[in-house]
Amino acid sequence: MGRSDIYSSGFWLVFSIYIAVESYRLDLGNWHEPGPGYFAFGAALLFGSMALAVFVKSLKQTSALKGEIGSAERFRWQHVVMVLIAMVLYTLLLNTIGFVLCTFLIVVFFIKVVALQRLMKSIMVGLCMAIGSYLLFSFFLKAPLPRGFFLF
Amino acid sequence: MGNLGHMLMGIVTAAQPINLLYCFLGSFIGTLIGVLPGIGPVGAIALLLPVTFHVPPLAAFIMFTGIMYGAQYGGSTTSILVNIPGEASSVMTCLDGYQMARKGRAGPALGMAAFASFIAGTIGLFGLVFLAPTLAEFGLRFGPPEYFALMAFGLTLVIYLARGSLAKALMMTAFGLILASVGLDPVSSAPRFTYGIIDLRDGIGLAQMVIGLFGVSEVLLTVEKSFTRSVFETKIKGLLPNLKDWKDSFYPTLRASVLSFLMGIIPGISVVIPTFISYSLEKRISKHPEKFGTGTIEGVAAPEAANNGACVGTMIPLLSLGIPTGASSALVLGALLIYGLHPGPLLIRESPEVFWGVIGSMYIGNAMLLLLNLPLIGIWVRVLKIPYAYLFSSIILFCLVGSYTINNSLTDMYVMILFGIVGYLMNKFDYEPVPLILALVLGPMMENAFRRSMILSDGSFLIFFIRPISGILLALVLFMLISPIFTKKRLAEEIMREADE
Repeated sequence: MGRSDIYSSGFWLVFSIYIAVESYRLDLGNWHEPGPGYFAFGAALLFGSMALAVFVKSLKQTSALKGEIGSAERFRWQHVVMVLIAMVLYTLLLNTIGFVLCTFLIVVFFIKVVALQRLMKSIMVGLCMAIGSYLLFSFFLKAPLPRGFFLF
Repeated sequence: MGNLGHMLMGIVTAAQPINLLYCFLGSFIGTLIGVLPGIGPVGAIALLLPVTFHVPPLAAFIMFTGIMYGAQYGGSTTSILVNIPGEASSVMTCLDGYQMARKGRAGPALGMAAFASFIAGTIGLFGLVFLAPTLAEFGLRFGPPEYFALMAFGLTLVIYLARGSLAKALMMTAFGLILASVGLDPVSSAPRFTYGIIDLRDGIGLAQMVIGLFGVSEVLLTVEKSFTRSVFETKIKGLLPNLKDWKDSFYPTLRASVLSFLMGIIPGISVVIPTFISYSLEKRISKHPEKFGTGTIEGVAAPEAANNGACVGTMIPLLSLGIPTGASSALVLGALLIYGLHPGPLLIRESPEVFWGVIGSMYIGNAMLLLLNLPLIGIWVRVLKIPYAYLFSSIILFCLVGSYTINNSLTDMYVMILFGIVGYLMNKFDYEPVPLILALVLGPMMENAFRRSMILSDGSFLIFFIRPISGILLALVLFMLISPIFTKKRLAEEIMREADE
């Protein structure tokens, strides 16, 4: 347990308090007839008490090991953030520009920018994946995919 | 009709063209995702869930079970050739399998892995045929308190056997139970945690969440590392093990098959732990334990038999009691509920064609995998050489489209991305996703059983303790939760230490 556990358990502790308050508002009912918030309230209590235990334990350990760097500080964010931004943009643009173009763009981005391959190679793979996945999902699996303003 | 008669009926049902096709697809996809890094059987089942909405439920069930045991076969290929386990259940195969490959014996290692898997699968299926109906008969005596206690027992075992911190595993279970309560209350229909979002009224979609937790997060974890990996360059020839290999592996395979099958039945044990225990057991009773880890064939046969035997074992509580034992079976249970099937004691009476059809398909699927795997080893090796740049793009694409096609909803895609981030952070901060998934699937059933028990008992908690089955199960739950406080040791820690050694 290190500094990363202080951050994570602190977050979960706040989250569990929020859930406990919300489920209390939902109505806990009584022993004879538990209400809609009863089960979530119990789960939030368990969640909160465990989060508190981890928080206190990691706080003690971190103060004993001053200067220790938790795993949270060693993340390599660059590729992860790029992939996530691309996924959110894909979702935002899917209905507007359509499945084929959107898929082509995201694949080219992944292969050219994230995996650092040559542009021509990225375009070729992007084309193959966009057309291949369109055929697979739309023709074979009959999934209704958004067409966007280009109508494909 | 006796069990064997039912079994024959199951094989006939499974041999119908549509079921046979989905059995083949499941086995093939299972092997493929076992070979490929970045997506496991749980993610694959979640991705394929929307595709199966137009398929007969039995065919979909057959495909999902095919993926579950197919992945165990495929996982061994990467363990032997790349020293990277395709699945967590193939970790132990790396130890001796990769060493055999380095010594030029990749062929017999791959061959023995396939044969041991087949033998364990077959032995397990015989056990399944006889045990599952008996357990289902027993399960008919269960009322809401027994079901609640059994589900609590399964969840606690998962927590108890978690590799990391017990407190963190408990937290993830509670998180799963909270997420399970999102949506309309089953009794009063009052909206809970929906915040006015109509798409959340039916609760958080299991498939979207699992695709994020197991598909996207795996890709995120991999893209932050290197895009290159090396496949051990060796000519794979002579896939059939020689007579000495068979002699050395025969008893380890049998022992691992029976032991792992029995362990797989216990909720929470799942597939990974039996492989560790089987390997450790063989090493302990071997006349030459020092050879383990240097490329001995028993070190491949035992864990490979164990992961398949346990995989079949996990089907027993799922089919006969409706209790999943791990993330894959939890997802299969979730899928079956969507199709309107209710695995449990009544399944064998109400839908015998489904119950026996699935078991029959497992016989056929195991034979199919043996026939598929040995001649297709060359293809799997080539699959391993596909650059990860293309693989991760395809996986992300499938995750996005898969989550969209569930309800043709962009909200589902956002939920999937959100849980991808959650899964990635959970991995970074050492939180395990399995208790979360299991709690999410079991949550609504547990809540229902709990509330019905409380109504039955007029608000008395004693109902859980005065009935013998639920009393014993809850006593075990308390023991598992309290004992580590005094002993400061858990079985999972012991096993991990053994494995490390």
